[in-house]
Amino acid sequence: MMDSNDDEEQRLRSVALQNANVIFLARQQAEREVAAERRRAEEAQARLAAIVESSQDAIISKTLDGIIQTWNAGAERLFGYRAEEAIGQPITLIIPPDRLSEEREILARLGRGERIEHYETIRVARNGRQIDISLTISPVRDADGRVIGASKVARDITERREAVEALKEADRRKDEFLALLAHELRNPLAPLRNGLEVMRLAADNPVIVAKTRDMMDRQLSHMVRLIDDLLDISRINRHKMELRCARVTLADVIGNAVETTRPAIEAAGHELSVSLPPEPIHLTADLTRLSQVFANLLNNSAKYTERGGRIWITAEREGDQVMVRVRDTGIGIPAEALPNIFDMFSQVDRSIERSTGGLGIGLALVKGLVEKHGGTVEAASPGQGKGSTFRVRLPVLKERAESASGEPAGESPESARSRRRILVVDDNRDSAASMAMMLQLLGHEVRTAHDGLETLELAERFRPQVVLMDIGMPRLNGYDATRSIREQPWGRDVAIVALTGWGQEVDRARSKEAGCDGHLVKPVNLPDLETLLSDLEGR
Amino acid sequence: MTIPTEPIGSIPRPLRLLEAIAATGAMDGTDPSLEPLYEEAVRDTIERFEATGSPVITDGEQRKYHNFWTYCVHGLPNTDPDGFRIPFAAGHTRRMLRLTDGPFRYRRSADSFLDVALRYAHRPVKQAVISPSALSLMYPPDEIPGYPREQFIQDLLNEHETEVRNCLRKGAHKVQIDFTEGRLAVKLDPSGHLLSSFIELNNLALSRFSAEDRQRIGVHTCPGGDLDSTHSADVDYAELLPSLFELKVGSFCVALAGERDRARVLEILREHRKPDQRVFVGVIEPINPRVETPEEVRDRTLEAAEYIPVERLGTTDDCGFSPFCDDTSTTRDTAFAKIRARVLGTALASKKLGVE
Repeated sequence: MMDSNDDEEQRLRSVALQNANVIFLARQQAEREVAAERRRAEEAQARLAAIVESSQDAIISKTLDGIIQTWNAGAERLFGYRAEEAIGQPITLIIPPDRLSEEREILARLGRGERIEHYETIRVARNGRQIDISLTISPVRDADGRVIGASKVARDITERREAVEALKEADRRKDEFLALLAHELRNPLAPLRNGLEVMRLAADNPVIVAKTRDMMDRQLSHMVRLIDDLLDISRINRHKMELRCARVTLADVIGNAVETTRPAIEAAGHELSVSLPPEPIHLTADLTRLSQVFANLLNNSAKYTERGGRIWITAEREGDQVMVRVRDTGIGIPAEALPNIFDMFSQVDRSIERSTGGLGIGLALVKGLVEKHGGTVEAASPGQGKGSTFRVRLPVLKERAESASGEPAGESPESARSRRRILVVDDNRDSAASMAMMLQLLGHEVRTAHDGLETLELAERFRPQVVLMDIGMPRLNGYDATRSIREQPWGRDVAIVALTGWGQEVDRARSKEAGCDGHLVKPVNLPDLETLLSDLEGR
Repeated sequence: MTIPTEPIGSIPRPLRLLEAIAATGAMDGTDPSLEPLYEEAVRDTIERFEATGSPVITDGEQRKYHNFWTYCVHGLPNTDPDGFRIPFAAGHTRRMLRLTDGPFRYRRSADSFLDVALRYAHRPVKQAVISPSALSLMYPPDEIPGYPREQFIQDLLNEHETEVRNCLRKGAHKVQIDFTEGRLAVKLDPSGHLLSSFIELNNLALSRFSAEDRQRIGVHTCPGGDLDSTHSADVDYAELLPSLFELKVGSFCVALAGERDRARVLEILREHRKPDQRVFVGVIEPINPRVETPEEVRDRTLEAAEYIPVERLGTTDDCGFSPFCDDTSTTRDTAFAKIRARVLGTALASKKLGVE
């Protein structure tokens, strides 16, 4: 062997064995690398498995024959089948029969190695529920790159689709509303312009002028009401509406609402029944705003009830709450319209709304105002043509507070207008005179003063129950005059209301600090003044 | 599905080609004037191979210069021809190349032979490559300055991997790693350490391939065949086969026809073959000038089927017919006649075993 050359054989053996050492080390290194790679792969697989399992989406893999191979927790939640039930089953398990052709198309595309992204379709859950889903499907390849299956990520897009539909619906309603708004705002303009022309042409005919002025007043009032509603709903939506809450009785609230809507109810020939509990129910509320709630509901009943219908407004105490029902025999509300009846721009029958005027924001305003008062409102109807019922629940003031007030029970709205001694202070003599005239017309006893010192002298003699105090005045300003009154024994219980052109918080704080009980910003309209006087009742 | 049968690789080169190579004088077989002759030799070999009915063919290794062992490094400028001598029983030796400097790179790769063969072939083509363990003996006993043995081993593995991967990618039916030095390793180191190191080195290379790829890779072992002689036929298979089956390949071509005690070898095969490994047993003796009859082949195959499940059995030749290009001890006609006998005999055995 080896040409009998032992040296050569020895050298060959030496090379081979030296190589063996290197090979041994190389093998050890290779084994370490393989082990590390395996560890990395196992860790990656574990991470991937954790991601798949924790995914909110359904992640499914299947063979090219459409047999389910894996099924994560998301798939269990979405489709209702457990993994052990789904694996091994054909994917048609979750495909509605009318969409089976989709699967053939998907498999064909996968076979061509295509990836399918955000394919929106419908699948069916175990309980038969059809689910809107978005599918992303990727081919699964073997080591040689052959497509051997597919992975599917299915996302439930039911909520998204509904949200999109809701947005579209809201957009549609907004467009309709804008068109209606333009129409409704334009409607009064023609008679107003006509009225102006008539008054110019018949200036010397007082009968025609008076009649025209009444017509213009009605049109203007209607327009003002539309705009006020708009502004109110806007304030509520922007959380900018401030309530002037005071202790009021439910009877006052309902009474105001009835009084406001009675002309419309009577004009439509409806019969209105009002039923309130005999005992007084006190609320902390903005009388004007809460009255507006029930006036809107009553107006709605009048508007959506055929001529000669019936309307009921009733109230019942329910523990710490009072429930006020406004019921009618009107056109009713279809069941499908009930969930959205309080939404902006929602009108069940726009043709009626058009014929009677309005923007369809009345109920949204009702809901916003009721909620601002800490209450709730709901609508019910047995169906179209079967009338409607609106239930308003409001928190009631506790009895302790009622008795502490010393207010007599069963107070009527008229009592708010009881005769009072009122001192009107304003250095603008016309303002003072017109305010005094308005208050006298309301039945009060009124005196006027035009500076601070005159105010003190007159108050000493007149002993007013209420002082409407201008602030900026010669000789002695309103703050100092107020402080001086408060120093008098008779002046401590006098209701002093600052009456000024300044309405910032800092101004209100200053008047309060001087001893004022209220703060009104000029010009003051009659309802605000009445509300104020009502709030001061019982002082 | 009949019992598969396939060749080892080499077929004696046409004399005209050998004469032309000798005439160029350069003795590296790359003279451009030889190209038409190489082309014709490949074309003719494949045509005659296909005529034998062999379901799998080779290009007869017509372009492997100078032999199955050194074809990839022959002519490298950083080698000397004074490497180790491999002694054959007939008394002659074959000498390896010695690496004189780094880096180690193949000069040519077997996939370039496959490119040509596939142009002519109508049947699946098998491509043989030399094992990393055989080439590892090129590195000298003393370390080459600036090129450590560790780097050489890494370069060797990289070159081998590239060659095998290219052959697979280009469509070789099977890539056969020639591991004839297995038995030689046992002869050099009866303790078996050297053989283990060869197996480890080859497995380091094989572990770079996927399991699917390794199913298309086989190993051939034999006691060497050159000029009708062997270099390690005296080594007992029992020393080799248990380690051989540790190689991470799908199939083994094991020389068997020339063994003195085939039954004993088959017993060892039965004992050590792993369940998923297919064994192609040698049923033709290339170094024996007598052409076997199909019936002889049939009987050898049936004998093997008693030890190896027929679904894991195949037949082959014990060795190539001319692993060294200048070996003219066997004629091309004889080689193809023997191959035809193998094909027919294997078919007869299949029929007998009912696996047609």
